[in-house]
Amino acid sequence: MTESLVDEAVGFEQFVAERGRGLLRAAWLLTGDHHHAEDLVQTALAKTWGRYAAMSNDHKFEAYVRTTIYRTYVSWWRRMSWRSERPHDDVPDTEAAGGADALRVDLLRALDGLPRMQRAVLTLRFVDDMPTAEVAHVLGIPEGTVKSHSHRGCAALRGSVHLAGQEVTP
Amino acid sequence: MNDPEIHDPDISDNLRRIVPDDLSPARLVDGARRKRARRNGVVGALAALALVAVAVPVALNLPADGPTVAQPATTTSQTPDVRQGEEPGGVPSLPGARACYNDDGTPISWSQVQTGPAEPGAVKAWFCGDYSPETGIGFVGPIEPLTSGLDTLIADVQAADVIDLTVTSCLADYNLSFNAVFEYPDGSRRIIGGDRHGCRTTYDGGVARAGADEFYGALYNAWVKQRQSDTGDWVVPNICPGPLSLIEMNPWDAVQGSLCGEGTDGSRSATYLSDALVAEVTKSMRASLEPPEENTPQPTSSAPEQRIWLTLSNKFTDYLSLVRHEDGLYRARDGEGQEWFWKPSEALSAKLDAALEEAGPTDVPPAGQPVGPGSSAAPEPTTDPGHTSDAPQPYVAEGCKDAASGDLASTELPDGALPEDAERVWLCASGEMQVGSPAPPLEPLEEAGLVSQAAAAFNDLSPVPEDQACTMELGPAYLVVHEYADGTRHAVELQEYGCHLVIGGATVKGNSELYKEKLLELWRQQRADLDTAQTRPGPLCPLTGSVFSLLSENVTATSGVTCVATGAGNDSSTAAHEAAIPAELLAQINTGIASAPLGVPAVAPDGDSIVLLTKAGDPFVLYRLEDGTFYWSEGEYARLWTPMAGTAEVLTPLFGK
Repeated sequence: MTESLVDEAVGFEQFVAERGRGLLRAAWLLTGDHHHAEDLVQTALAKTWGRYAAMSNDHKFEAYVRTTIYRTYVSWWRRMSWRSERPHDDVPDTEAAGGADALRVDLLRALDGLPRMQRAVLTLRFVDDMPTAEVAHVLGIPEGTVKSHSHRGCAALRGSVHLAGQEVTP
Repeated sequence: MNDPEIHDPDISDNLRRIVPDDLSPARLVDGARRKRARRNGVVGALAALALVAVAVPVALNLPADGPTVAQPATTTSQTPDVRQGEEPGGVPSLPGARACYNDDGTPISWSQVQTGPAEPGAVKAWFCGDYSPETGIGFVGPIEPLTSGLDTLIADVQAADVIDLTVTSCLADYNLSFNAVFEYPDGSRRIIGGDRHGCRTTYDGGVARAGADEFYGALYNAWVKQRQSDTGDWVVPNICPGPLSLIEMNPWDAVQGSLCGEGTDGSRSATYLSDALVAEVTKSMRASLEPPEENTPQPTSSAPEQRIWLTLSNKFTDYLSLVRHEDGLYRARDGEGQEWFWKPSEALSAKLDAALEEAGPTDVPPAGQPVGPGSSAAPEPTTDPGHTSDAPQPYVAEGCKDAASGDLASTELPDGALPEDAERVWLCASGEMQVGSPAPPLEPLEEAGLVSQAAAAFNDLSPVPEDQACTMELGPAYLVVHEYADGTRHAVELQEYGCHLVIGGATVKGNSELYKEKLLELWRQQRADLDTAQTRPGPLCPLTGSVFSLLSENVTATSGVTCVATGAGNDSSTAAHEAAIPAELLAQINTGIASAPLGVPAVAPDGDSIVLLTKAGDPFVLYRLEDGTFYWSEGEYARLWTPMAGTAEVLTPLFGK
């Protein structure tokens, strides 16, 4: 590779080392397990790698990768195979401090019941704290549709049988 | 912002709490690198048209006094059982390892008869892609075998979870199928296959398991590692344009090159490049290869008189083919899948032109076609004559003919906006994307209120943001043509790939998906009162579907045809014998597909299909499988239809079965 390509490769690797965990967090909430989250982020990085040098800074590139993660997730075709491979067995049976593991199992099951777009909207709105307009831009859908998905997704989670026994955070 | 929903601490906090703390980015870069190398692969006829242009490769006869080619090393690990191009009888060359082909030149497959799973003790392995000698499309694996770590590869496959495909629903999409051929000391072989799509399944002695991506990655890495201590120097198969290689090469690693051209009359010419010229090409590429700039117009490639390819290969005979565009730009991909453009200097370009002119025309048959006894003749049609299309071209509406021919592209717009007083609007497939693209509506938008909304749909789009997410995926493009009372025509291009742009001359906007949906909704409104079934003229068998996302439960076909492929293959460019479906059978098909369950094909398509037309003349395609069932995709899912006995009794003979 030319020197510029080597520099680009090093920069890209540093970007991933510094920001990859955050990308994985979003992907984990969308997919519900380590393996698929990793797969989703790898796919998004593979799609966007060639744009790294063209982006003026890592912040913009991260936004670009996140958009690609969400769009890939929404359009991804492995939904049925993921359902059949749901790694519930991976979650420890014993409760960790704060009951996070029990909540994780229940909330993942509740999230599983949501259509893909609703899950993506909820993750963008309530974990990435993105306003409606930005969510609409990321997912390529009208703002009204974002609000609709958000409202229905929240209602579905609140009413989910999987969360009936969970105490909500005050 | 005053959106109350954003202040939902319960959901927000709980979602944050459940994310594990131990997510590590350690494997992201390596995984992305592997995926990147593959994600731009040729998938179907549409992708082939977009990137390489469908052409049967020309086999070059290596002249007696031709360029020096590297000879394989004489170590036992490089046994020259892969010396393509030297087959007796003059059989044209097949790229990649010989072990990846059957004796008749067809690609091997895990589904071929073999007893039992792979066992430990293999001494060689070959890595085979999905290259088809018939079409010249697909990936070719490394030419040399792997000679170490084979037991571990097999064991890792067999340690993965078994998948019961009869109960697991996997989408019948396609990314890449590959095979690993393991050879044992007694000469016997076992094949483990893998699909990098659907359920990402490996196939070993009839057992389907998870982990196809991991198996692929292990094979890939094993070859890369072996090559670190391998001098290479293999005989170079004589193929131009070359296929894509599983183990990608960098253009500046090229040790051999060939140039080939194909005219619109089908005539071909091809030549090897001298070592000096190859060195000059690679030196120029190293200095001047450029990635595409943001929003840079793509190279032109509208129906050139002659298609020209430059194929380079490295010491391992991995290929890199560059297609030349009319403006002199060559488009290529490097070893990491990045798309680059290369413009040779005038002097170098002249040398390349001269080399091709000296080659002259050749009658060398395309690569992969068997010569002599054993060639199978195309099947005779066994149904009523119907309509046979030798060069299938789908119907093009009058208002789209110039878009189809490439004579119309996106136009400059007055003040960057579409005037909203058009008389009609056409949605047209663009240029080369005719075959393989979803079919646009037959009719133009003509209702006054709807036509103005179509213009507004473009005018209301936002400019492309600086952080526009663009990807390297492939997709169709359309021209939206607005016709005005004074004869003026304005066209905007809708791209369903890359940056998903909508382009009107210098006016570039984003969010083509939203624009397309708005347009289709206008057509739906216009069609709300449609009471007469529309007929789509022209051959229907080349059609692959409609721009409208038709769901089987909403499809009521008013007409349809059976398509019996007259050649091998299952892509839209294959000629087919087409026959109308009788009304009674059509009614049974409608009933059957409306309740078809989700499923995954367990057998391969047989190349035949049914094309149904809705009342508006939109096509809906059912692909026939080897067991007589039919499948189709609906968004993320696939559905399978097994005709009932009575229906099958009437339907099956229409396919000559």
